[in-house]
Amino acid sequence: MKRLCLLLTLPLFPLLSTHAHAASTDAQPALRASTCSVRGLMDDIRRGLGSGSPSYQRYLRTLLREAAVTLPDAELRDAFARETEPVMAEHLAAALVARAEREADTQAMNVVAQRALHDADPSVRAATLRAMRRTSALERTGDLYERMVRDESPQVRQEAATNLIEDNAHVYAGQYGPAADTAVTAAVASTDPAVTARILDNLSTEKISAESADRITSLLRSDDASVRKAAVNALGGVPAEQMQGARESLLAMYREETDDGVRKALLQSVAQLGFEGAIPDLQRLRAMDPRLAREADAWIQVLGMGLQEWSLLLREKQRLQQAP
Amino acid sequence: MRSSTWKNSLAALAALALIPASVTAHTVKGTHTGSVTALTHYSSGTFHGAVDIGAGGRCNYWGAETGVVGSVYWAVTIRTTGVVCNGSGSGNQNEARHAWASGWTFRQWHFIKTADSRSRTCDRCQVGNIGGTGNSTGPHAHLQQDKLGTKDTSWYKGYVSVGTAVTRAKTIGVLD
Amino acid sequence: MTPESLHRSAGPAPGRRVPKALAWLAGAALLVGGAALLSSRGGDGAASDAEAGGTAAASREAASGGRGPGGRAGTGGTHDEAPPPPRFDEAVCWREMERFDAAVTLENFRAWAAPLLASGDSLVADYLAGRLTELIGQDPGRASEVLSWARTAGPDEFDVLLTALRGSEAVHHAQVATRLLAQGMDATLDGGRRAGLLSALDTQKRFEPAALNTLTSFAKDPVSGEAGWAATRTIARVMKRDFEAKGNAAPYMDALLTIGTESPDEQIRYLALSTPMHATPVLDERTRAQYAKVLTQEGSPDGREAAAHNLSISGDNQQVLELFAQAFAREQETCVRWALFRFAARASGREALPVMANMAMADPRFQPIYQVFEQLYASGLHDFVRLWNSLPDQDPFGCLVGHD
Repeated sequence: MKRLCLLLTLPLFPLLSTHAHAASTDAQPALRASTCSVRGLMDDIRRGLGSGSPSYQRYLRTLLREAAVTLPDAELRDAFARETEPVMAEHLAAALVARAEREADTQAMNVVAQRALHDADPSVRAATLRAMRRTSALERTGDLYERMVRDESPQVRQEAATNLIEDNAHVYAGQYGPAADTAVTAAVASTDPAVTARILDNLSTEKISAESADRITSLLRSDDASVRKAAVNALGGVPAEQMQGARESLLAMYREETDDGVRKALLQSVAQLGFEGAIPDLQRLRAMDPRLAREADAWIQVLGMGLQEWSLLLREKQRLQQAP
Repeated sequence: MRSSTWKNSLAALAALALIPASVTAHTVKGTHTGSVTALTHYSSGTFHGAVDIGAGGRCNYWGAETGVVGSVYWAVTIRTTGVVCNGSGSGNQNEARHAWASGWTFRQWHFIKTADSRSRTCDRCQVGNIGGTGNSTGPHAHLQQDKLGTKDTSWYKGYVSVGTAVTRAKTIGVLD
Repeated sequence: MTPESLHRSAGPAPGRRVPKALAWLAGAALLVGGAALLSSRGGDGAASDAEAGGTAAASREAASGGRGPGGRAGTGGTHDEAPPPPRFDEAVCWREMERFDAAVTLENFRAWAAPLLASGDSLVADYLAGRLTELIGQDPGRASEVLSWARTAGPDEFDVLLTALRGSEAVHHAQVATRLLAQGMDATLDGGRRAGLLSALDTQKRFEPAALNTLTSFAKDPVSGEAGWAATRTIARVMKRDFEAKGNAAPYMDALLTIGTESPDEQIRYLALSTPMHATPVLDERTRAQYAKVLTQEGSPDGREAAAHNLSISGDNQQVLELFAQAFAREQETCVRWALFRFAARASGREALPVMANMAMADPRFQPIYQVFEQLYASGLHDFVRLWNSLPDQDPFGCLVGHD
């Protein structure tokens, strides 16, 4: 009963703070708590796009995602199906994805994935892909990414690449082999060198399969230097079982490689594959190309510090080269 | 050498629920409705280095929700099957674990195995029911962040204190 | 491990305000849609204050979340036969929020935010902090005004004010940072408030020597309590930022070592000794020698473990290996031995294996885990993080579990 009274006395009219500092000429808004609805939230977001406050826009985005788990599913799906404006479609897609991620509706991700695949508007395809970023999409959407990296729109292809990179880095921290394998498959499937190179340049290959390692190795023969460089980078991080093969492939490649950027990447990956044990290899490679002597020396010096974590070695190399 | 016990009344004001400072930071929310029963040290002074959220003795009632806000991959390890509320021996706790980069790991322990107890990516999903598997004298959730096995006590304190009421909306800390 | 007796003896938890936002929602629903919702809650009063922080029954009935569909399956029966509570919280939507956002100013912020804060809606509290950050902008005068409010603000408002200040551009203005520090040092304020003020300094890009000295002296003071703990964490967080941006760690490491060796408070010492693992600086000779002392002189085993962790990133691997070998022989605590063992590998990689083999000879409990390390190195692994992630058991001695 006590609680009932409390509820009845809750202010419909906002409380005036005892700390009120200064009077405003504007009347105080009559803030009232209410039940969220799909339409109400979408109206708020649409109008909020014109707000000068990033905090307000962030609040509305978060509110929609948090409210999504209890919003009427059919209403949400209908609104998403009807929406053609990319920015609003992205919000609705994010709400559906949130339902999947919170496990309120495990099928909701498929609805978004289908739209990403089939919508006629590349901006909507790109927007729905963004809504699936940093989620479980790699576990739920089959060959979606293999298809999206071949989309006719360069923007869509790049959004797909970003998802593959960010999901592997931030959802899995490189520790989930199937997600990394999906990224490798997509990178190899893409006919856009910019997409292939970007995925492989930014992917942890720590847990990839032997098949994926082979696929990456095949890209060492690409005509595109950016793809070769990315493949070299990716091979630097392969699992222990693939390390010896990767090292041999990279050392064999160095002599014939003509691109300086690729050669620099080769030095780095040889360093990553061997740590201190790579110093003799690096000394040999240094002698082959005097133009990269400084780079090889930097690696030799950093590896000589004896640090046992690759991220620390990378950091110290950067520091060394930034030192005045 | 003494172990301090700070007054709960002070903690409410120190509860600066900081918004994550970087894009990779994650907020940690309560796993179920209950209250904080242990933090860096137990009341005995023994080191604990984690957050325990008790369930007021209710066992196998609350779903054990993963506390990290945002989708991450959870590796679920089941070491005890069946409904265990008051311990099944040290090392036998059921675990949901997320490995971050650079050897950082977030762990949640002691839940009871259910059909939901499987490895997967999700955002605040349920991986079991709150119980007391492993080294436990009652149903609770143990939330811990460590780097290469060294416990981090900087992610939670200042947000909560022993006795703090917890819900799934309550911020326990921030992993940055 | 949580003895429930501890929980019960903790007494009723403070802040029984969990369902506030929902109460607002319910209030609105009542007035617009009748009393059906409330009439279904006739049992709320039966909630026991002693139960789960005093909130369980109320929260359950107010849809604060429970088991998912799989909750009952596979358990072989349930201990608690009460029906499972709803899985998800209802979010709250606020009418006139748009107008609030458009018309709120620094001058009317406190008055206008008060009813929102009173609701306990955490999403809206985050928004208020962000909006106040925008209102403060780069203006040190505005930041100082918000800081003056913090002296008397209640807990929820204090939280928003300090979060807003912490995230503002103006907090980097020397005048604001100095005033924030001074207020944090104000002994007339209670410890919790001082802790919040000092925590809001943790977005600083760097600390000048004077500020660092002030924080260090305060943190190691026997009576600094929670505020001293917050000061220590702030030093560690600013160190991480300054080190990542400018490579500057030395003065902060000195500060943390001073606190880590001189504070009488075990929680503060552990924090000071363990937080360098966030920045992971390579230790210079002097710092290495100081942590070597901690390894032999720190009374808390957890502090010695933290020292071993830091020493494993060192400019002189051979010296560290010798130090670890000597410390292992002296050390009586299994968990510290485990730290010395694994961090020997982090210090020197496969070259540490002979030292680790000797450790396993001295303490045969380490022989199985030694073989695991040996196999992993034989497989071609070098990177210690990869090795750690490849261990079949990261807690072979039950050290993460802890014992009471």
